Amino acid sequence: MNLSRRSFLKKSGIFGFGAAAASIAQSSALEKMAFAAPGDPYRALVGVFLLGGNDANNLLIPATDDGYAKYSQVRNDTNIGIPQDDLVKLNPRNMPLASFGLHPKLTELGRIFNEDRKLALVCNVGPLVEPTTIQQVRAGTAVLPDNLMSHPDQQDAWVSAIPDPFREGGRFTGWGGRMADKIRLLNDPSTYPVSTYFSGRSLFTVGQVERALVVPFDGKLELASSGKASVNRVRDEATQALFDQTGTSELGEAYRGVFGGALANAGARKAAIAANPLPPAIAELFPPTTLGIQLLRIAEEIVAGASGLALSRQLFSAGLGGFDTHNDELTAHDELYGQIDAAFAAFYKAIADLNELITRGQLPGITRPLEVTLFTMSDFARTFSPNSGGGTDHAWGSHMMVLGSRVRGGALYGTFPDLELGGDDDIGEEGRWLPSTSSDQYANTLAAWFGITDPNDVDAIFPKLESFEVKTLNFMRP
Amino acid sequence: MQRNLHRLRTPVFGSLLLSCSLAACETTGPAEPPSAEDEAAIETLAQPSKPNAIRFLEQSSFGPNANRVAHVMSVGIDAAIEEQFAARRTRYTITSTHTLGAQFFEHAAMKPDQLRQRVAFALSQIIVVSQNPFKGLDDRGQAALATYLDLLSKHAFGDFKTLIREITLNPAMGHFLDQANNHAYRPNGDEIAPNENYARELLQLFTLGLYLLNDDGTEKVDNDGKPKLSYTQEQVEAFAHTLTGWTYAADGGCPARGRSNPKEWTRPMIGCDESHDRRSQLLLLEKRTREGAGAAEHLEEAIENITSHPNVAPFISKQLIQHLVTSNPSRAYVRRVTAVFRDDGTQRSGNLAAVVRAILEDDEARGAKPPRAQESKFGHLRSPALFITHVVRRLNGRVTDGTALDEWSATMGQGVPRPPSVFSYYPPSHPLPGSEILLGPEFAIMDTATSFARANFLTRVLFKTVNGTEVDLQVLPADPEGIINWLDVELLHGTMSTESKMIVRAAISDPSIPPESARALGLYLTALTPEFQVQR
Repeated sequence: MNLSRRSFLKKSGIFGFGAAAASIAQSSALEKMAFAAPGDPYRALVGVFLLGGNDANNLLIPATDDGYAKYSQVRNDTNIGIPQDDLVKLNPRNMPLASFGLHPKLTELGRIFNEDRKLALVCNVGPLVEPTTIQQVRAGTAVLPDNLMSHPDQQDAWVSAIPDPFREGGRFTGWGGRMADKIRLLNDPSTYPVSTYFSGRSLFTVGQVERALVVPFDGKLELASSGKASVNRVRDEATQALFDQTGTSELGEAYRGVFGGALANAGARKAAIAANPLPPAIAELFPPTTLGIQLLRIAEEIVAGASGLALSRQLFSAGLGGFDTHNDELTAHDELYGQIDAAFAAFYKAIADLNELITRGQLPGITRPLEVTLFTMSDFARTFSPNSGGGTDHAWGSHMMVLGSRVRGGALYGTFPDLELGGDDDIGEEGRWLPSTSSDQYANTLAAWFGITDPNDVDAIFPKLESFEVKTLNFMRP
Repeated sequence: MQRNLHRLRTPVFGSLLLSCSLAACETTGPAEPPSAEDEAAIETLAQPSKPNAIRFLEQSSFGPNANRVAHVMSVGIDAAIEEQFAARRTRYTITSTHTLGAQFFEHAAMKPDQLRQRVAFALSQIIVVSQNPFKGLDDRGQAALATYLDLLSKHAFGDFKTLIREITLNPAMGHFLDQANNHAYRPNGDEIAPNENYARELLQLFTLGLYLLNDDGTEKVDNDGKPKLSYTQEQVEAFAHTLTGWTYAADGGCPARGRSNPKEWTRPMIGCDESHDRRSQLLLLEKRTREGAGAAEHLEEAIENITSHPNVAPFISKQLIQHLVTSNPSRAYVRRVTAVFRDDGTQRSGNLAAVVRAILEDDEARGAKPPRAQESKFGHLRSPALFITHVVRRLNGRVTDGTALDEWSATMGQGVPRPPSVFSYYPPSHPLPGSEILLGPEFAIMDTATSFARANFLTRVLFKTVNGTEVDLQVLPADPEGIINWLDVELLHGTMSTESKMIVRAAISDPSIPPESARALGLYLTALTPEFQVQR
């Protein structure tokens, strides 16, 4: 934990609990009102990592007869094809009606795409070291990301924006964390972490300085009672004193940093949530699933963050596992996409309802609108050609979803791949798409919206973006 | 046999009798620099000091207690290891009342084959099967995972190549990584691209690792300073083809081409040539498999090929050191252990008993404290299961039902045996937070949530009760000074700092707390500090 933060909190007399923390949070809010420009919105990014490599070839499917014919040629006489009639038809801007479709379980997201125009689909995105052509791949001259198709390497490539750690000397931070390092100035003078992590790929929120607050799914981050108040008091004071020391073991000091930081921030968070709870009617919107619970917690954190903690920028990390569908993909996707549809739609409605309350002045402590953008990431897509187990193997370029009130939704971005085995977008014969959009171009679009605009900052956060002409896509309103 | 030469511990100020064993009392005078004779004090494996014995038990068991410490001091390190090699192996049972995770904690807390269980636990984090994907089965994977866990403990002191062969044939592993029913042909005879899952993880995680290694555990680099891959995508595919054709055992033997037997956990998988790709494949080290051979012969060729690769020895040796002793072993330490992996002295390679002995008896692991040259970077953060069992065993814990302990371990990121994926609970290469040089694998699961979980476990086990677990706080004396001394000598093997002693002493003597809470409070505070959390 960085020393200045610890000494700040120590001077404030905070041991991390109760009234002391609340008064610190309150005074921060007062100071914040003096610093913030009038009308500055609160903005949050919510990254949802689909762990295991989501087969986006069954997420977004061409629905015109010609387009679908190409899809069905490979997938329909196997056990992973989706019938054309079952697709949730999409009417993307500047494309014919019903030209594409979503997986049958994504009914709510389809509605948000077609009617609200607040869901965007970004096609064929993946980590790229530099602009790469299929000719280069075939000639063996392409500079490829290291360990393509290995889960942890590609999960880290996505979240670190460093697809080639050999050349870069390793990767120890994520673009989310590096973004947090810069954007924390907008939260000044608060020293509360920019990022809060529930699940996903943990490297995402690691910065040079910033570390996420990691919160369990039940939302509780506090020291349990021993049963006796006097013991609790003595215990917690002595704990703080012990963690204020320094020692000579490097591993010991690393542990001290993590634990000490946890104590300090947990207290501030607890007080802010207690003073600014999520309205019950909004909490009830969320389904009690792995993803639903995380997004409920994130909604709680957003309300507390925007009010009691007086933050202007927050980054959240959530995750859902089970996407490594080497077998039984149809069954797996029914459950997973069903879960995504319900949880994403609930979150979208929750934020809309909160903003409604804010407009009517009925959410105490918040006067600015909450602008929240949810986006997906995944290790890779999967082979368009299935394997012998009713499933698919690891591939590369995949389709992403972006959802929120500031999204230019109802449209497809990037370039949808040619669904031809061994075709112009296939790096081999199994249907592994060479990305037409780099994950950095995708991520930088989100970062720019979040407030990262200085080219030096962009360079530091996305070191590979330099060689790409196009730095952002157009799926966010400023 | 190596002798350990360690300086006498020199106190900063005048406290006497830092460590005193039955064999020898190392008394030191107040604040005197050591004389030449003092410096030459020898600590042999046969007569370990108390701190040495405690450290040995922290490395080779799930935690010391007074009896075990006394025993090790009395028989010596070497004999203690021999006894552990001979100790009766604990097996998992497929009972519906106690999950495998519960049994793990029951065994770890109380059964005598501590070293075997500890090594098996380390192996389970290298050669991983997780129970998570088995949850849909009627017994939630109990039978399947029990065979896998028993296989690891069976071979913990055995031959590494045999272990790899048996794990390749293990049905639980077959289900986990798709080695089961990975057919080369459909029923109609069409060729199908084999599933690469097992082949890839076998190479990447269980045997070679991603990069070529020197015998000292460092990565080999090319002329541009870049690490060198130990295998290619083509070789992954070659192994995938070579390992096709295996299915679950059945009384009727092999099914028709391209078909699968139903899941069955009690017997090794069977090779079915009808579903096997008999073509020759180019494996590692430019070796080709025999054209036309069947599934069993090709599997044997594959196992021989992989386990004869020079990377196996350093890749496995270093990780075992990391799990038992320290996250950042010196290159020399790794090299010494790798040498034993290559040749146990009788020209056998992969002798895990010899490797484990080499790890524990090495100068770098032994002594009253870590070697001076390693001191600041020595040790590893106790992983959740080791942290929990250590505390429980230290207090003579009786665990009749380990379910609650397993749930606590899960809140800290280590539910047993349920790692989130084949990549285990944490990667061996995870950097130490804040360092660009040192590793800290266990820190990968150390965050705000799991930090609080560690503290809250201590509150529960020390001030309240954890279901199914009884601990005895009376192993500590009642008076504050006695408590401090016990915490220093027994829990921290003599490394408690002056400041820590002051703070803990003040807390447990505080007049506002009930005196009967003093032991629990002292234990809580000490067990939460970096000095305890990092096993050194």
